[in-house]
Amino acid sequence: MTVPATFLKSGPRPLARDAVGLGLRPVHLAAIRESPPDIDFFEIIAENFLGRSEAPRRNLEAIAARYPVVAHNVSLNLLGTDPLDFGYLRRLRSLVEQHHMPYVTDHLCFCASEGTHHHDLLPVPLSSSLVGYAVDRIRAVQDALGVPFGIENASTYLRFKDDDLTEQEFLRRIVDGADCGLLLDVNNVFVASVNHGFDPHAWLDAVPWERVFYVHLAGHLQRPDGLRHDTHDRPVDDDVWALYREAWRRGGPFPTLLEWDDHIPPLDVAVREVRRAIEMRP
Amino acid sequence: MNDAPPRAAATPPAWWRSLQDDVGRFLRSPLEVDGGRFHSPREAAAALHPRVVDDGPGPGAAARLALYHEQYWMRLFHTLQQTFPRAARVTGYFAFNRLAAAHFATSPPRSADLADVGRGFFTRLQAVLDGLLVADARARAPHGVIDARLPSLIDGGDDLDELDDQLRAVRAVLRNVDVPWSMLAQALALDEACRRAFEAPTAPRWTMTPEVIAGVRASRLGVRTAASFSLVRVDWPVEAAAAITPSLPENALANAADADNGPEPPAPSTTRLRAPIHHVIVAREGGVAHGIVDPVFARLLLRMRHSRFDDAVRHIEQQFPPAALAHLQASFDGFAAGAADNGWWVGTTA
Repeated sequence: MTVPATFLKSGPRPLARDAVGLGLRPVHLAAIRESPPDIDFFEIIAENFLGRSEAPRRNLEAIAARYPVVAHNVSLNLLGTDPLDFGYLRRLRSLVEQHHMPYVTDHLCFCASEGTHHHDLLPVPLSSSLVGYAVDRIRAVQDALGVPFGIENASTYLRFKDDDLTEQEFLRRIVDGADCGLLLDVNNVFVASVNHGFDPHAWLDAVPWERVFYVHLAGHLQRPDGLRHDTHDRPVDDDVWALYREAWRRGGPFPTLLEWDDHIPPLDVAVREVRRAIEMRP
Repeated sequence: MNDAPPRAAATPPAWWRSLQDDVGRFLRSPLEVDGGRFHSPREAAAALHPRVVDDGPGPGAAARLALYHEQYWMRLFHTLQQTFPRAARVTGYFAFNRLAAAHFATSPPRSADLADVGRGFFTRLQAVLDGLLVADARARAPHGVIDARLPSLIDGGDDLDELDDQLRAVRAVLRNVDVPWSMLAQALALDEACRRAFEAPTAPRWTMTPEVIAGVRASRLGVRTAASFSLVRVDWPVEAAAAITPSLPENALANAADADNGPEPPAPSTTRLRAPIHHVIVAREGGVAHGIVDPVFARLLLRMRHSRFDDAVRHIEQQFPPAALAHLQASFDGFAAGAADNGWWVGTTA
């Protein structure tokens, strides 16, 4: 595996199926400039590059000239009841086209209501009566973006009494209905499995592997009360690595991306952590 | 691309809209402050509790709802601390978070860009303080030079009925922040200058040729100052080096611990600097740039935003000793080239 040295002039830049990548964080920019790391792609949190400040967009230009970049979102509010923000989607599409991103993703959650943003990935009832609504919203997003769109399974800490589906059934129906991709977060599967008491391996049984764009890994916290807290502030848990191996065995190869959002280590440490994925593959 | 694809017209089930609104109101409801910590009061989740599974493995519904509630607030506190790092250090994190809580109670986030949550904080805090500082302190001097410590400046009257909840909360906080008001004001001003520069447009790089410098010196040409330019005079030891790089992590849950329960910063030194420092702050490619200029050139920069070199020289002549003017005349060419290199000056005006 080598760092891509060429910049395609047109069209999306697909990722190799065995690619490994990192979430791009401002704290690593200088280190990346100084010594470009041996990884295959970066993932951006798109909202950070579509605000008022030009600085992040300028920094991204240099990164995207060397590496493929994919756009991940945290605010599309896919299952929200506020209207979709088509102004934001237009700006996002422009960014995606500028950097030839192969696809865009966000979480199956809601994150705003009554015109206020909660800046969190909030859980939704796993209700069959929400499937059609989710499908409509995701199709609208996909149409607006003009590139394949994928949804990510979120970490959750509570379940609603309105649930009449399992999470994997809910996700599967929506993915099939919207004909969209899946960003499979293995850490989130594990965190939710502990918090809600299900078998994460059985969860993998329902994954439509042909729809998986790529896989997320991250670290999480084990709280004293037993809840697993999706903190992205430490290395990947051994149990999550084990689940990753199982996922690879069932659906690999797929690109793999490490997220590290707090107590972010030096770039070389983060790179070593994501490259462990290569060793973990069966 | 269509502006309004037909599928966007999908309407959510009424029960789902109602549940979401309840969740939003729950998240925005204030945390309780108890024993120097913020926590979610049990009664805040009363409306949601019956909707949430309570018999699963591990902790019950109350603890799970509290996790989301505290996470909402801690993420906002953490972001505001990052946006106003000097002010947070001057007040201490706990006091700063209480000021932040008062801010967000009246201005909940309405943008998907987390960096936007700092907008309005500076202006709001200034306005709130205006209403709280005792009248004679206000009359003595403008904000920047009121040197008395905050607890002695906060109006101590018993007119609580005349204060709304937010003012009352801010007053309670500031009575326990034992630093000079001018120190907090300077920290806030520096932070706000950086915040504004971060979101301001970056001007293209510009180089001043010797001919242009000569034209400016002869007052045939004026200079255009960068839109993001701020000059802040500081004479308290508020650290100037912190860079501002707001970003929106996918999941900043660990911030929940750091923003509230992490160690407080060391108490700030309240020994005044022997000489004021003039900070120049401007947007640059990739971020925010700081520079420091001496008082003469600080005055020159301010004056030349609206007038030409000869007018600035006359002004400086009146304000500074003759040696300062000689220094200005001798150093101007190099200073001008540097002002362009640093992005402070971005072009000429005819």
